[in-house]
Amino acid sequence: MRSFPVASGLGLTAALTLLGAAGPAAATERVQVTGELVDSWCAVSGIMFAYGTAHHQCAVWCAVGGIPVSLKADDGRFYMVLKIEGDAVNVANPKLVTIQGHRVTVDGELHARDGVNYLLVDQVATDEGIVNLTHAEYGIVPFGE
Amino acid sequence: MPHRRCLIAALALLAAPAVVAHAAEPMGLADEKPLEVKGKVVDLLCELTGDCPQGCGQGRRQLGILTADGRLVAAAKGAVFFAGAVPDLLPLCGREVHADGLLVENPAMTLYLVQYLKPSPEAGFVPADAFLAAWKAQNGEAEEWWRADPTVKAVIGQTGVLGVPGLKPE
Repeated sequence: MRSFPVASGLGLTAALTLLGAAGPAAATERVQVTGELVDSWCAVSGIMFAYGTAHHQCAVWCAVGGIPVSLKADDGRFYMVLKIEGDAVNVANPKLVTIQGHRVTVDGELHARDGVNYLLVDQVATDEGIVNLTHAEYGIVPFGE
Repeated sequence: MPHRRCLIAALALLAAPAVVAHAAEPMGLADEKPLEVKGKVVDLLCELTGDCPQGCGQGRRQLGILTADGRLVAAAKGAVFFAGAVPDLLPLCGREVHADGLLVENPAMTLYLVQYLKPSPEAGFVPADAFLAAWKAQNGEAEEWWRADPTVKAVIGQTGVLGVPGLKPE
């Protein structure tokens, strides 16, 4: 996974642009990925526990609210889903909303750029539904209801 | 309940007056960096693949900010609870934007939370809360849009809050 240096805005009043060398063009490859569909913001930011049954309701809120849906692979990598089975709608896509939290295996095209793996899903090969039963340990996150 | 109060307090850091001079609000997230970003508003899928519908997809595509040195910043989150930044950035599709917010550099994925933006170079920063106005225009007033939303209600009505039909919280 690439990362890039950025300048912190803390204590600065002047506007900053991101620093560093020019961003590379996206690297593209065919991939098959297995993992859990998650809300990108809650999972990546760590603002709350963001997996499985405990977080399903919030994951639906966020997908409907237009936050990107990502696939968290079994190896811990995140893949932001920008296309799903030929559908290029990636804001509140009904297909993605309804399979939030599901464990899936997908085939697609990966574009990696500036710290993000973008995934264009051609096919959802398998969909096991929600199998990550986390509510017994975490309750319902957030708010507990 | 304490958990709910804490979360709302944390999220409320995003609440702000209508116009401010400089405003990124740290949230205490791991890997976060308050950061201002200047660049062109782009459709992420268009930028990556050349599949470019008019108007950045007119609200149906995730958006980002392409900086002058070629960095593509994925604008995943806006200032409204549980909502993205597309309604804030869409009016600036293809134009320059000056955003202020938090860059979360998780080693597994880098995302940007847009807290404020300047709708024009001469303007001051305004909160990135366009989602809520758009939602209210379509659905009316609600204390918590995320519980009142008809799509959310339909999905949760079918699957339950745990996402598994028939499975209920203990």
